[in-house]
Amino acid sequence: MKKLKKHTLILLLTLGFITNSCIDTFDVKTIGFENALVVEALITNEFKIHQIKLSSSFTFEEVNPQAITNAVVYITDDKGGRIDFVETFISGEYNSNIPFAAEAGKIYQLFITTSDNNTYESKAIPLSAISQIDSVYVERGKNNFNENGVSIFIDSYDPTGGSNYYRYEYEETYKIIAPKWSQFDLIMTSSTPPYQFDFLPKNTEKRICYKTEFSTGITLTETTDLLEDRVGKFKIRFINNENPIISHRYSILVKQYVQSIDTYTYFKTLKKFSTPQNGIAQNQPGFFEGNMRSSNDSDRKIIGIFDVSSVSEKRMYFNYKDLFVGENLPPYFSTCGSTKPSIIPEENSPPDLVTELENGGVNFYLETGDATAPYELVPSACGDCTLIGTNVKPDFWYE
Amino acid sequence: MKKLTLIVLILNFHIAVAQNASEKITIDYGNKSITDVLKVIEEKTNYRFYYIDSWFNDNYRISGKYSNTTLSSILDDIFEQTLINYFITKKNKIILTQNNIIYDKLPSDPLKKDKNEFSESKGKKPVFISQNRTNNTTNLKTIRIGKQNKNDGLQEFILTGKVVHSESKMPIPNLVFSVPNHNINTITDLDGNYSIKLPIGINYVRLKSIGMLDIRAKIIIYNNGVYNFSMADNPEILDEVVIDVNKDKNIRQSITGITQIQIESTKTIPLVLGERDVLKVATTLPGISTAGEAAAGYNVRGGRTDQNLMLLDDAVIYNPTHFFGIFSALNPYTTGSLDIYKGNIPAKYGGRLSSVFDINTKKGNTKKFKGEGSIGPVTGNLTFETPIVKEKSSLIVGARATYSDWLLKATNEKKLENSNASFYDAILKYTHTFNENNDLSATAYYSSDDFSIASDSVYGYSNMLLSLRWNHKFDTKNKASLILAHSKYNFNIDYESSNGNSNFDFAYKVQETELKLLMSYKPNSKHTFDYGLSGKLYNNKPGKKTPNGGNSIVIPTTIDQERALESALFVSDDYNINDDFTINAGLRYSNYAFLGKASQIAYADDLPRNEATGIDTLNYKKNEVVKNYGGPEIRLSARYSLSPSLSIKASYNNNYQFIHTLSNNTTASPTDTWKLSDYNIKPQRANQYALGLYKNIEGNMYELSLEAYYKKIKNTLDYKVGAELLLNNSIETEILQGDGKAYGVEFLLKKTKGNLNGWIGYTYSKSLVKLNSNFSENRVNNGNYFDSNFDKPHDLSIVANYKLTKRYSFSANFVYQTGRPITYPIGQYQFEGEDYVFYSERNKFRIPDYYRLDLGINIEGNHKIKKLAHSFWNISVYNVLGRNNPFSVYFVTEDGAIKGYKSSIFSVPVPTITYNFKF
Repeated sequence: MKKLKKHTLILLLTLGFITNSCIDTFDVKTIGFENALVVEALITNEFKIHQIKLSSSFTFEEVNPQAITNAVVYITDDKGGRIDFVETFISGEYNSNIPFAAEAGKIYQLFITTSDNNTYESKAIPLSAISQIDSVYVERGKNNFNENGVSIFIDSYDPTGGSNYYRYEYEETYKIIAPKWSQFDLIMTSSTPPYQFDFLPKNTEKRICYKTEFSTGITLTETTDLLEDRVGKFKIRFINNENPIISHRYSILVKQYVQSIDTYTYFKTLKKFSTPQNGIAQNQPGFFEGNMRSSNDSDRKIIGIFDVSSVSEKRMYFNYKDLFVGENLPPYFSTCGSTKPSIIPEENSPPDLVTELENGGVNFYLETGDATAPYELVPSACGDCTLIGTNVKPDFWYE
Repeated sequence: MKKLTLIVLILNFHIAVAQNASEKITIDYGNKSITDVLKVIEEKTNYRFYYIDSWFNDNYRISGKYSNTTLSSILDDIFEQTLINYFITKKNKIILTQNNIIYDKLPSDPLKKDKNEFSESKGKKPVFISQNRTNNTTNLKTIRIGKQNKNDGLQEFILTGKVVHSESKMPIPNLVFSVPNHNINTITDLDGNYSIKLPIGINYVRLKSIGMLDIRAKIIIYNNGVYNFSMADNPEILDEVVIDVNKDKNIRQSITGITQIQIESTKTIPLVLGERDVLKVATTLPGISTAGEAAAGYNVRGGRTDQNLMLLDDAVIYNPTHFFGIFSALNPYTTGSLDIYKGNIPAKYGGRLSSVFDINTKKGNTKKFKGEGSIGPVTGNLTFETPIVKEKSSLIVGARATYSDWLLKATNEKKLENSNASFYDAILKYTHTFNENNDLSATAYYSSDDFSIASDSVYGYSNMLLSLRWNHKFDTKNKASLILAHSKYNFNIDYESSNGNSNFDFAYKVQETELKLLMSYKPNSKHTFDYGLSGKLYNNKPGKKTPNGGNSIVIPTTIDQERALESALFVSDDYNINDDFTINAGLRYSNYAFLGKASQIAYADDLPRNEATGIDTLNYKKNEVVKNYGGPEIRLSARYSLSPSLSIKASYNNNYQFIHTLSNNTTASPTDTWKLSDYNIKPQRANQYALGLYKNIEGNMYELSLEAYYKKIKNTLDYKVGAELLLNNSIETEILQGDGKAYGVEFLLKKTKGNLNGWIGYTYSKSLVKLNSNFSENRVNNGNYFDSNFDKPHDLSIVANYKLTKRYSFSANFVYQTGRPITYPIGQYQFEGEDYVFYSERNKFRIPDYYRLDLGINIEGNHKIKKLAHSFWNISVYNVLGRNNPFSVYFVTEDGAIKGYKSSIFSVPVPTITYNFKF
């Protein structure tokens, strides 16, 4: 039924044109706050230290949730196994005391006792079916809003037909090359007249950087309505061709979780209530339960779900120049106009060199030849990529 | 004037001679005023006319060509459309009179047997009129009905007849026939027929209809009789704006909560984007509202949008809206009348809890071809009427289409290039009169919407209706109508994915066919019985998904077809116990049978319904009854007159509803599906009590009404949070059935006459829902009553029209409503690194109050009768105050953080110009 969902169709755009409709944001204020336990418990078939997070709901005026500390957290399986989770130095985060992987054929259950002696337990659930991503690939094309760019798709196939419900996450890493980088930094050796300047070679990498970002939002698909358990050309990500992140080399690691129908339904409902609606027909929101419940107070609300899902992942790279042969690069992250200020203030002129250097936020730039006054300055980010990403090349990265 | 009348009377009294107009003349005139024509006649003959200039409107032009014709037949033609009567004396004097006739003959032989047992006698003794009454009655036409029967001793008689248009001979429906001196009122039915009970002797009657010249007459009645009137257009008041809500009926009628809207009179009310919309006008009246500007569906007295029986020429129209509910799907030019029953629903209607919208299409003109149309910013509209067999049958055809698709493309907004949104509708009605006792009408209607807004899916929906009605009169007391109606509503979703392997078409269809026999028996003036029976067969296809294209590997899925038979027997009597006290008592017996072929899941009684608690699957063969529901429905209403202009009414009625919409949205949308009651889903039921007080002031100049109601609903439908309603084979596991409760007070003050007219409506109401259960998952708001999604306690509407001159009129429309309830989060939480809102109780918060002012001006083209087309311009501004009325408030997670949004549909003033023309 995935495709019957109302797409995030920005109906109001259409109506907007015809009817001058509008959408405004507003500050959400808390009315009638209610406290509830929030459980984030994803156990996968990766052999590792698994983590369970416990927090509480919080008001709109607060920035972060309050951690639930000193809780007793453990998982049991139907073969008599028990794994305890111990709170780490970050309060509210509980790590398994041993590394483990969820195994097919076992049925797991989560138990929590909070410090106020409330007890919670999950339904007993097995590990979901295991399915591998076949391929992750990129194609140029337009999106539904008719924007040009690239789309990243995945294919996956489970010949056993047992997977059916999929959730995706990705992390993307891209290479940044500072467009107005120069070998030297311009420094002021005397900040009182007569002003003195000097050039120092840069001692750290500031031209080539990398940045990794994680997906946001909930990406789901299901294959129950298809003849085969096949995810075909499912779009994970669209990047507008004006987006600087694809300027050079881009890499994406796609993670595919196979979910149980309960978990999938939970995520689907969460998504339904948290993604922009068309503004015309609005879903009736309300509280929805996951697979956790309070064992000592049936009216107590618990948010979150105990999720035992198999995971598979695949990484893909592409270069801008391979997809956009001979085309201009997308604009850089910031505009890179340069100035050549006078050394000392002059009437009706832009800020002088002394002031600019004292204030920071600019970088010296030398395209060719020798540096002579007036020196050319550009915004820092244009000459120093570490302001955007990190100069440490990720372990997995290859050119 | 008075003097002249006196002279006339004297002349009449003394001379009383036969008119002699046998002289034949030849005359030819074109586009002349009457006074000019009279001058021409004076020039050509020896006759001289006596009249007062002010009786004639110089703008009223006539043409004629006669050769060797008697003067009287020429004069008959000249004065046909006017109130002027003439009298030709022996001395070649022609005396014109307004309204009254100078009679010169004795009544025809009263003993002569007339087939209608009546004789129209010409008033022979005008003096005796002036003895009885003073000045203001002297210029009345006198009609004598019946021969006096000395042995009979009855004090009241029934006058029946038909009112037709003097020119087209078309019946004039909904005309008010009143007898102010006795406070007796009636209105004509759709065929122009009336029936009124008059006390013996003199009755001063008045016939009034919008756009027509009033008829005043003195009727002296001695026995039951028949008299037909012919009424002429009032050329001066083409633009009169009067909304006729019950007119004089409001006091006398025994039924509570009935609203009648004259479509023609709604044309000057400013509406969004210039689209005339009778249903939107209905929402300005108390008790009828929508959840918001773009909410499809209407909420009547706290009822859900699926609880209205919308009938277009007897066939149910499932979705009467276009474009997400911003426009209605009814063609404003072909719609003749709209009656809304929101209180006591007559027994002949059934199957919905809250109201009946009985929409009737005009009959086409049987005399000549006529057309009407409009050009507005969103749609173009063209309607024409044409006779097929002159005087017997006619056709009316109306069509309307948008050019919004083209507009979307013209925006150059790149993001909208992949979008389209368009609609059209068309209606055709054929009527045929076989003879006095038999007529037939047939209607076909189709509407269609398509939209795709920056998405992989194309949505489409359409209504299709066909109806056939045969009216038959057995005798003066017995009438029958046989109705066959078929309706279909379907929607489609076409989805296209990137590589085509999940492309599909989804189709949904609800259709019904009804056969209905309506009988009416009127034994005497005290009783009117309406009785009959109906049977309706539903044949729904609740969901079919098929792969689309060669690459698609979508599994074809079909939800089992649903069939049911809804039948009813009904009888009602409108019983006039005496002048002051009337009872309308109705009984309807509904039976509903959900039919096989079907397989239904039986669930354990004491457990919440879900996959695990199904205990048995029951299979039924074709036409086998799966489950029966139904029972008696009482429709009882009474009226008591406290004084001639003040009455009190009370009613009780209960209803069943067997078909329900499934919607997990807070407002109705086109992809809501209709579900029949089945093994697990019970019918909805309602009980409504209403009490009303009705007062007319200054002879109906002002109409005042105050109605209170209390309604209880059982088994109202609701849904589990996040329910999946499309293509769900076990939909009963997602449905919650609970109780509803609604109450309110409705106040309406109307000014029906004068240059300034309009109305003020105010409603205070509550609409509540209770979803309780032993199981927390089926409980909403702890099982307590909570506000429904369309609960708007305060609702004020003011509609005003001001006629400045014949050509210019202004209108204004003001609305104030309490903001509708929404579910507001009670906090947030972090999950998977992102913030989400935490919802708890439903509808605890309200969006800001809604208010809006619209202004309009109408400019009529000039009134030259010979002009090719009559036209008028409508310039209006919707939401003049530019109030940014939120339609919805919602919360989304964007880049890991929560954002609150308010959306509104019309946030700034929307000016519109529409051009309307008639030919």
